Amino acid sequence: MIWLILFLSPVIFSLPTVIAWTYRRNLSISSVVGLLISLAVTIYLYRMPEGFYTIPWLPSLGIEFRFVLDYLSKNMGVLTALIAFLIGIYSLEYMREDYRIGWYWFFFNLFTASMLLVVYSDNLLGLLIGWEGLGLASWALIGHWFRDDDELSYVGVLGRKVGPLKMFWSPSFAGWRAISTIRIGDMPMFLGIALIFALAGNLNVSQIDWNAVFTKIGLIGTTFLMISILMGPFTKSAQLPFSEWLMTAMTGPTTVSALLHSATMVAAGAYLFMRLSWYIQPWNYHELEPVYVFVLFLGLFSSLYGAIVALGCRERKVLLASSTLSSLGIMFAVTSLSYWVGKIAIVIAFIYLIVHAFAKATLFLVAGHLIHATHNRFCCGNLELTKRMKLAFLATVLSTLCLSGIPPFTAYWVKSGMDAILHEVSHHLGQTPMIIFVLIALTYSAFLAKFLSLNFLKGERAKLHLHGERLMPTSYTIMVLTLLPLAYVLYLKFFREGLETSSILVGILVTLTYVVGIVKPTHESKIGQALGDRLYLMALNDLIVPKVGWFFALLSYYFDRAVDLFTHSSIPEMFEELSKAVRRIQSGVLTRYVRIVIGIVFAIILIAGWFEWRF
Amino acid sequence: MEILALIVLTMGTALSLRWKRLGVIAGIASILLVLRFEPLLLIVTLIALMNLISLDLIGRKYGTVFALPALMLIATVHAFYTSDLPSLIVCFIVASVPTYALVLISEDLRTKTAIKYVTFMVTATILFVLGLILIYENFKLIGSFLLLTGLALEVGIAPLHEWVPDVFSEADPISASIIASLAKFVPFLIAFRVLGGEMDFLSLTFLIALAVISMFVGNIGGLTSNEPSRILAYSTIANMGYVISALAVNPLSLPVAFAGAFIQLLANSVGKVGFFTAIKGGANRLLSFILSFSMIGVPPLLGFWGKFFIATSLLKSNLTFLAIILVVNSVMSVPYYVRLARFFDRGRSALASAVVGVCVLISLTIYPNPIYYSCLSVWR
Repeated sequence: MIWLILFLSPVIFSLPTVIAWTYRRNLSISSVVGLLISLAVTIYLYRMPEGFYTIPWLPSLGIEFRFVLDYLSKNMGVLTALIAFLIGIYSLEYMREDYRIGWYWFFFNLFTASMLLVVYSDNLLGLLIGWEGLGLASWALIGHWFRDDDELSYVGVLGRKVGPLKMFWSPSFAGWRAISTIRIGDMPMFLGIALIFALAGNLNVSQIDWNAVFTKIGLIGTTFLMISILMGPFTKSAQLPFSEWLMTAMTGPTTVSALLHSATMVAAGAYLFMRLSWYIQPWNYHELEPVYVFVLFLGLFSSLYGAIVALGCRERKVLLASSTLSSLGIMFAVTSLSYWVGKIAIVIAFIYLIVHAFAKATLFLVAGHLIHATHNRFCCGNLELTKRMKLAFLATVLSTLCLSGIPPFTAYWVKSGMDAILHEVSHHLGQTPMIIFVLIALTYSAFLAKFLSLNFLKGERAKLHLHGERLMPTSYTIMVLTLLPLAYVLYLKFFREGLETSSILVGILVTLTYVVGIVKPTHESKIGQALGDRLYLMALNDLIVPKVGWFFALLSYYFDRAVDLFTHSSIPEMFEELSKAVRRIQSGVLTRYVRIVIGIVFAIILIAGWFEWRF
Repeated sequence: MEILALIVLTMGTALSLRWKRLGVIAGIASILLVLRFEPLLLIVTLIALMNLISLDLIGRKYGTVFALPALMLIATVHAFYTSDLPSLIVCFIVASVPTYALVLISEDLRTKTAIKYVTFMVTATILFVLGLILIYENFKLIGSFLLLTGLALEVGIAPLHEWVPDVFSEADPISASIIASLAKFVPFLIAFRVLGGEMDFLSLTFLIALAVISMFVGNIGGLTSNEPSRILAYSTIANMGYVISALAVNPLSLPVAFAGAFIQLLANSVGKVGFFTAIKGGANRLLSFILSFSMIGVPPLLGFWGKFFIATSLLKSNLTFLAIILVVNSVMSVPYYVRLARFFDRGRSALASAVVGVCVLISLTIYPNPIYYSCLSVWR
């Protein structure tokens, strides 16, 4: 019952908005109430004892709705519901003038409910329902402004082209791109889940006998199985080379971006990887080494890519999007370290997820407010703007400080933990991961500083259209303030690692790049342009993959033509010709007929006579 | 009874030189005299009656022509009930010779066509009779070859079909309708009696080759023909192919094959009579479509049952490929039958309409069991 309330209340409470929003636009509040109920339930669940709760579903196959309450799901559930609720409040004001509020709220709440289902599900099939719900809702929300009529909703400079590439993307296109990319990963994931069911006869992550599964299919089989399952999280969390959809997803309303990039959707991928690792306990299985090394480096490189691309970005939201990509890479990489150092790696990655969620949601909400106020997608604003929007400024400062890892703020302690386990792993993998990680950390703080500087301190002058918003600043202020107690909690947890010399050194370097980023936020160069264009990775989506599709389209076109030619031209023409040939005998001249007939008759008589004579 | 019928017919025909109506009456009377209550023969008789009546559409001065279909019917009926060689030969000749005269009859004299027709018919008769005698003299192989060749020439099976399209299109439609219907029964009956289930491998191969070539030539030739009578000619060639393929079955399924062949002949006959009469006197579009569907073999019309029984017997004799060719050919024939049905829109004379109507009624036989069992009993 409690689970039904948890998952259904957001959806059900959004229905009044869906049905009657055209008459009473303030019905949106009912949707937020649904989110609030979910939040209350998650807090209630947080206080429940750890364990599993089962609801029968397909008893004949041994499949059931099985929900798990453990460290991961309890925290993640509260995080998701809280962030969704705060963004919901923000949306009340942000989306007030929108042209299809019903659509927005329904899918926003469906999004949240799906994420909660993913979070609490222990059964992979139950999880898939939420997983697909996320995909559907993300498509609907990214393409929310489906009319493509507002310049503010595009990504990229309108009309710009680089070579054959069109460098701007409309909302409808971005929505389609998101769902299509995700589906590419979902297919192998279905396959992997089916494989697990075939091997283990069970889909409950915590109950599967992973040892039996892995020994049954050997090293190669295990690698194949894990990679195909992880294709789902990779595409969902936009790891390389599937990152493009995340960038163009910025065409959705900013609230959607905030939700998408903090606690749902992209976090779902990382979260699923954490949950799997939590119960598989990779430190016990040698078969998993190739997979975890692969994920480690994939995560690190995605992260590095995201960080340096963010350095070159000029659009507020796209900059934040690629920073999210960077953070997700870190989460994947750190989780994969669990193969060497055990559960602590998962815990650190998870804490980083929480910190990142609050900080990133704050930054997105601020960005949304800025776009609202300046009517401009690109970074702009100077001290004048800062004076008018003090809360936004303060929230940005605090969240960037907390996220970039400047001592003694929140992320510093997490990153110290990461430093410590990377140090431990260097015995196995050398110094490369550590070096990449430090590079990422430095770049990360630099572009966050750039974001701060370009929007509030040194950007171009911007015209302000303030409407006296109340709810928007309130919600992001609350959100950013949660980071401070979190900092204290983390200090208690990681203070030993945080006070090590190497961590302090990295902290000082990060602070240094942060300061550099604030003092000199822009630097025109070709490399910067290339970075801003995301290293032209969209060529994969916009040129290469379509070429493959076109190839198949062409193939089927020619096949179609061949069939058409065969059935509609060749066969009838053949019969026409044959028919004319048959009718050509009919000349009407008797002598000719007689010749033919007599010839045939004599031939027949000869043959028959010969056979009669011989046998 | 046949003797009585012949006497009545002779008297009536002689008197019809004076009174035209008497010829018609004598013809009908003699036909009724040989009436047997056997569904198969009943329908054959009905076809002969329609032939006789539709001859009126030609509109000749004298009534002698009405004797010809009656004569053919008497020969046909007699052939069903006799089994000695001389009688069969006589029946064959009597059922065939009247058509020579029929070709000549029309509003204008058509000598050229008649010569064409007679040339082939005489050759066919000679070959057929020769083959028949040789088989009885125990020269089985050459005998059956000659018999089949004669049969092919007589009824128009490809590749010896050259006369069919010409004669059908040049002669009067009513004459053609008699050639295409009533004249076909006796040759096939004799062929089934003599050859059924007793052929060696070579003549069987020859027979199957004839059947396949005939089906394909008929249906392919029909596809691009424009004149209705030529279409009907090619349709006849194809139908003869279907019928002769039934001869190829093994002795066990021969009765079914015989029934199939004769139902197919009935369907073909009523179709031909109906369409040729329609060419002469017009027909309703709906009726002509029903006839077309029967000829195509759309269930549950009569044409379907013929093909159904033939195909069943072929399948039972492990001649699956022949059955498949038969079905493929039925499909191929769809375009020209539909085209044929579109030639007609409404009837122009009451007599023609009545004849077409009866043909349609026979085609609408959706319960073929009486005909089937009667075929079986005749076969025994």
